[in-house]
Amino acid sequence: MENQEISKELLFSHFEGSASVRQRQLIDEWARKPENEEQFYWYLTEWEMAQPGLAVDVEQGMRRYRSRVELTNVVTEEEIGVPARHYWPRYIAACAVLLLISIGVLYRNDILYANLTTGPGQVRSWTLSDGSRVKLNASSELRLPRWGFGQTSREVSLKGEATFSITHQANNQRFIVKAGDGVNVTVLGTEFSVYSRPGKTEVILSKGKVTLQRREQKLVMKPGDSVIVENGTLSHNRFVGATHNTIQWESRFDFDRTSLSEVAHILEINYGLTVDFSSPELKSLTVSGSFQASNAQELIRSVSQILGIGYSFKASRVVFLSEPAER
Amino acid sequence: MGVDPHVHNFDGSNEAKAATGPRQLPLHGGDGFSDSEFFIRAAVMENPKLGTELLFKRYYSVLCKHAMRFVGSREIAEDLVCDIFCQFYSEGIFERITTSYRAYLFRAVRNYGYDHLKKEASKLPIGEMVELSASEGLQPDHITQYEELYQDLDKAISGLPIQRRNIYMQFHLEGKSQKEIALALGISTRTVQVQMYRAQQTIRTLLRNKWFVSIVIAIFTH
Repeated sequence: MENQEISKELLFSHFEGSASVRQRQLIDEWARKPENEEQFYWYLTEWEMAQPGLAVDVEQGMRRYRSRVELTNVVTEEEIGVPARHYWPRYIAACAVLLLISIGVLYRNDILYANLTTGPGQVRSWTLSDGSRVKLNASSELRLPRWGFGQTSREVSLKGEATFSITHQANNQRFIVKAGDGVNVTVLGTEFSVYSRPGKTEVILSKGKVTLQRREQKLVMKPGDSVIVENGTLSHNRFVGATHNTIQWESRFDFDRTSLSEVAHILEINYGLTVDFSSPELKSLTVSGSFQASNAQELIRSVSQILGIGYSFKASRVVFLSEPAER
Repeated sequence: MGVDPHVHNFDGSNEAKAATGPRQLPLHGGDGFSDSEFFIRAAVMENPKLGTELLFKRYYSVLCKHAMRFVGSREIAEDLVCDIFCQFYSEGIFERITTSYRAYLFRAVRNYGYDHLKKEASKLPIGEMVELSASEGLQPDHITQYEELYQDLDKAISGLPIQRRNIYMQFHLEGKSQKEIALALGISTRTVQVQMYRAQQTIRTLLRNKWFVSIVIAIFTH
């Protein structure tokens, strides 16, 4: 069947929806030839560019694209070798598979999951490959699958505290946060916070709708609701309000037999201070517990009081002293 | 010239798997349609990262515009196009494309757009979560069906009562919140919700009747 030429005018009228059924058939037949199909998209681009429409922010799109690529990059670097597999002699492929399996078994968790972590007093935000944003509070850890995140599933597990802003996917894929106490939060796209520390798990919803599941129990949360699981019992508090916030950003320091020299390190990193000790024995003192401190001074004071030592804090220099300061 | 047998039932992910072996890049001169991509193609081959960004700058807005015809929402359209570029680069799709990049990108957008509408049309009322069990990956046989589809969607929207259409457009196209719309029109948020719901039902029903009749709907059991 020799195709007749399809004019640009005919294609344009088809794009606008004014072509007849017969004309559409002609276009279909014509476009079966690859070079004609190329021409089809060429004119489609030209037509689409001339159409009025909302302005699209290319720069913003580019930023989104870059951050997405950055996250998926981690995965693709480990995938090298797969595209070329059809050309390898079989035994090389077999060796590679064996090697991969043994590596896979050895580093199973590292390969299957990527961890986002924050240290004491550190707060960080990430954009995940599906465009969702997550902000982790101090001493928290978020584990997410490296493979197929956003494609086959969006499941993460959280230890600590985090706020999520989940993008809605075109395929309505759910985002699931596994927290402590067997609590699962399922969302389609919304904003919420999760607090998941030993002894207490809390979920606060600020926007949208989430389903929360814990073992057999399943409930739907509305904006402003909070659900707390403490000592094994679950309570659903409605309309706590937007002001209620369980997460106090940047203020928490969890220490577990942390030596004073490590505390010094944290102070140096987080607040840019220089830390000295009046005597070296001080360095090995250890401190445990959870501290609320909105600045360096508060943290230094709390730690010193607990250890029964003194300190001097001038300019950006801290010295821990063996004797408590006279008051 | 490498003629891709999947030209008409193209699916972004399937193509990636189906394309085995290296193919000669059709750097055909003279036909005028791939020519204009010659430099971008060279750039992508030379430095995939930078090349893809060049490609992104060139086609991002026009692809978003086209995607919007299918998905109705700007946010989802931009998201979708970003995804396509991300796959294009990260999964090395650019190495296997035998058509022009333009043709690939447009086909991908149209297929995703089609899938999106299919899912949209299969939603049950009252926001129940549903999933398609069958006919996943089935695509239209004819290239013009994509145009027909978005034109039908457009007609469905135009056929809505004026206020309902207005609300629908403001919400989906301009990305306004229900509250903002209610405030601007001097009606309650509840009314906005009801209108949105009715608009969606009308559109879904129309799409379902014409396009996605054979779809089997399975309710999530989770």
